[in-house]
Amino acid sequence: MERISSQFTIAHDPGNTKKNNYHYSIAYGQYEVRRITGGVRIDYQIVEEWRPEHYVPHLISQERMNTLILPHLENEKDRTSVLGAYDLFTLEPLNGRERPNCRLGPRQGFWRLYCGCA
Amino acid sequence: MDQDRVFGDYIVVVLNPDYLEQQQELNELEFQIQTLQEQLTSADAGSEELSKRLSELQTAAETLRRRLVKTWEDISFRLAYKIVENRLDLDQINDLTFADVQHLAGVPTYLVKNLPPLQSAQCAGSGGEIGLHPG
Repeated sequence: MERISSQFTIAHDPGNTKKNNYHYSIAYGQYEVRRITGGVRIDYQIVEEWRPEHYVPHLISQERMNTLILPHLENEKDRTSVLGAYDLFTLEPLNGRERPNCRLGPRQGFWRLYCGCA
Repeated sequence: MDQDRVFGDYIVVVLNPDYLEQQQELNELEFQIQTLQEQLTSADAGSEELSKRLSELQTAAETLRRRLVKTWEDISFRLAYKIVENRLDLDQINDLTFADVQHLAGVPTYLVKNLPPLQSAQCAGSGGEIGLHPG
């Protein structure tokens, strides 16, 4: 069915991957029709197939998470599940703290400097 | 990874609630260790028991410290790799500089974990429900 709905298929490396313009463009609404003299011009944007992980933001500010995503999740379980998929961090000035270089050296001694532990 | 080049004069600070709890726990352990060490220097009797207790606390503190550092290390490296992975103009981790991360300074930010496929699909489902899409 997809093949019938397609106007063309492109093939490209690596592996001579074939992509038809229905599955990889029309289905996502990623095409534009414009009038030109004596007809129309259609531009298709061929995109990668979306896999589940493509829907997950890799990096999102806490503010945007709290305003754009979490309020739209109806139950607590979903909110917990989503937040459980992320680590929360920030970047702070070193201000004299020593940067750990864990994979290159011993871990003793620096932690007090890093986290300010007593 | 050259941390100085990537993070400049900044450092990744983990804000996960469970991480902060463990950090607090480590602070308390270290306080107890310090107190015990002071007691040991002035103890005449029962020092063997105090020494044993001190050793247990030091082991617990070291285990916790290593766990915290591992988490910190994983997040720092994952942040760098995720940025490279999602930037077409960056080919490798050595291309990353502070200019690529400075917008994150002072901004609490969520970084996705390396999810197993099932959890990834669940999160994607939640994202799809609210209209998130990759574009």
